[in-house]
Amino acid sequence: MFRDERTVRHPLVALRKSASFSQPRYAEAVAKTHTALGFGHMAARREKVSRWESGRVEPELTAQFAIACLHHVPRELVERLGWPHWLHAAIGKAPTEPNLWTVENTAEALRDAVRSAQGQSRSYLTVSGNTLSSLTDTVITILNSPPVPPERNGCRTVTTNGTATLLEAHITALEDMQQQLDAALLCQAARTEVQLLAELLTDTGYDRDTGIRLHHLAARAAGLCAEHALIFGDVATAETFSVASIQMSTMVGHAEMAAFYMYSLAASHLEAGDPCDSLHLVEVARRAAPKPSPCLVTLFFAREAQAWALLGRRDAAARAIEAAFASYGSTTEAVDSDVHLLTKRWLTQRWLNCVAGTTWLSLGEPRRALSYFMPLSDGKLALSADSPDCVALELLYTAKAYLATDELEQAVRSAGHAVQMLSTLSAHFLRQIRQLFLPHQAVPRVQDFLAKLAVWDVPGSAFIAYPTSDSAMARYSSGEESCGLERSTTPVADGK
Amino acid sequence: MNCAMRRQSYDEILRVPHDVARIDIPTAYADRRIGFSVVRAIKSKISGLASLEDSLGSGRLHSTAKAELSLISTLLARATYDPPVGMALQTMAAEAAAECAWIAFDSGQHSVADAYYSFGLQAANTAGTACLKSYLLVNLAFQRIEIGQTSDAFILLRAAESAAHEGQAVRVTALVHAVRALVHADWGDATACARATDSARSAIQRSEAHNSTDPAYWVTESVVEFFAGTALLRLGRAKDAIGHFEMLHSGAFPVQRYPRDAAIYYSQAATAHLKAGNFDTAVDCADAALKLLDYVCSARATEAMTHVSRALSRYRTIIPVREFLDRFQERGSSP
Repeated sequence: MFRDERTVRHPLVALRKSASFSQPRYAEAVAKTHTALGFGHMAARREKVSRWESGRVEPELTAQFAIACLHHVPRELVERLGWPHWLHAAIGKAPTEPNLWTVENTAEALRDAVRSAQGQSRSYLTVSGNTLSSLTDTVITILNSPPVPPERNGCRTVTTNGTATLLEAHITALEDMQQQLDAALLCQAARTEVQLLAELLTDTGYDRDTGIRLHHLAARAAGLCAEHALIFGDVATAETFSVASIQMSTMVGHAEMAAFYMYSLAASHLEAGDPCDSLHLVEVARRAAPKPSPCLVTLFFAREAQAWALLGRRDAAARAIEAAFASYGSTTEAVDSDVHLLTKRWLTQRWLNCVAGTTWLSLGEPRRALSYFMPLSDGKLALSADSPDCVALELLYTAKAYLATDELEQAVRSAGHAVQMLSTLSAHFLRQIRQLFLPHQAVPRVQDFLAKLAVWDVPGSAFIAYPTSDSAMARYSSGEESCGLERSTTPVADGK
Repeated sequence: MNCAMRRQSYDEILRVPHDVARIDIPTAYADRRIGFSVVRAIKSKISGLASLEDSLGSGRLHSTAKAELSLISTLLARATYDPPVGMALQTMAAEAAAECAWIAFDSGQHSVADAYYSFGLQAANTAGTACLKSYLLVNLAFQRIEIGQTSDAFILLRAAESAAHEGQAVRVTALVHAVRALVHADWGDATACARATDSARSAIQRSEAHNSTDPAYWVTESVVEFFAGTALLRLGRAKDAIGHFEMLHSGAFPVQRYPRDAAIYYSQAATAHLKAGNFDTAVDCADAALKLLDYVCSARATEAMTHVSRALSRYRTIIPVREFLDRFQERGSSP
């Protein structure tokens, strides 16, 4: 995975950093406050703060009071919300309380996710460690006692099953477009679908059948938004959308879809550099869907392979990737599965090859990884049915593998192709490229490539403008031309 | 109609601040070669949006519609495409703008709607789609009639008729005549009104089977009759109007598919019956309209209902009327 170094996992990290404390200084400050509050002596050790921030260790209540005092949070809030929820309140974010699963709360979470996707998002995952366990426990508990299908009466306006059918067609069309246009172009459309569904779920009445369909559709729309957020490197927003999808699917008792969205949430954890939580999610997803369709089994093994690889567990990762390939062979048998319908556009042999490639790359075997990645053609890229974002990411991994085998020229070509695939360079994507090539910046070819990319920096922008001509970039990436990235002040639309 | 008005063109009528419908195109987008598969997907989404609007009313769909138009505008401005794809995208932009305009109009935001109509007409002109141009013009004319600007509407309808003829758009032609009947009714010209209604009937009889890709897919024989009934109401001939709303009861008009439109037509029928002194039937029609309001979020439908209830409130002493007014009031205060 290309871990974004700016991603902070635990809210305590955000809270500590917002007060400009280093870990040792924070430990001292908490210990001092602890004593001052009359709770007695407390060891001021950096390791203690580190363990709290890992999400696996919860501070003693008196230590929490000391932290709360440090950040001017009332004790009542600490006691009422519990760890780590009160930390979100302290930094101005709503707490995550998995036990409060109602349509209203989930719809509000969706709206919140849309707001955070449109603005400045938090930079850490909130559903990690113990909070994640709490979430997954809730999922299993609800699924074990089949929930009553949702219906709402007594509202002034009513959503009919016919409207749900129309909405489904609309969302399916959007999912189809994913294969042709990149996330930057589609994210706004997906967010408006989420907002519309959140509104229909909370502001209108519906019968049980319609209620179930609206929940499914909200889960699908939120799932799309989660994918987009992940592409932009916004793991926190991706997490919020994925959690909402899990909740929506669980609340209507659809175990397989809940399991699928847990698989999706696991992606945020991998991206944030936490393979353990990722493995936990897959394990719970398996429990949630005891008889998963072959495509879901393929996805579980694929995610496990990536997580084991990040943990350096070569044998486990190799076994998982083999199992993923074996399971993929029987995916066509389950054509009626909802997960199959949702994944058939992208769950291909190519996709699985890419997963295998990234797995071997994480395991430090770049040559083996390259045998799985898409071969670079001499001329234009081979046509691919995969979405532009996926192909670009695969090319970036290919570049990483080439760098690891000291094939610098090929690495630059691959990264150039990756840039060429996208209509928009997100700041996250650009950062990934830079992170990759920075150790090689002394090499003239790399220097040139990075310098050309720098032309497209827009301070404070989430997106970076891409060169005006794909032929220029193609020439550049194929090595024909050293400079093809001149910025144009006018947009290009050669069809007009 | 004076000469000065005759010379006026629809361009002059549509002098609106264009930034009302300004689409924020992210400056970063560039260079993606797109083909007809993208256009087909967009077409599918716009058709779906129109059906959703029929079903839900306009109130909840502003952002969705704007996102569609924004996507198309971004592709038009920044993507790379062959000329035929570019033309198809311009057509999609015109269709999306028509949908945005209609949604704004149905929500009572007339100046916003004007701006979208202007945007859509530019796109339709660029794409050379006379049918869409005509459709946009007749919708704009209808909006002008609703705010009492019948002279502007008349000019717009002439341009719409010419474009519809060029585009061989039979349903749009029927709509042009049906809307023109309203203009003549507002001017008190019963003969011209009847002539326009007859022309609308002739046109709709020539139309082919339902085609959801036709922007005027919703214009049917029933709709033409409802327009005729509305025109007669405006002429003060309530008793004559009543028969034109009969299709609401006969099942010829798909009420469940078009709950917002049905609510408005039921309100018109209620008004016609009320003016004709049929209080019980007026209340029945008003009740039907009120029930349909449960399914839609539309300022026009709500306004039509409010108008009827205000007219009915003069007859509060009649028990069924009083009971209806209580139900209406109760609905207004429910969540």
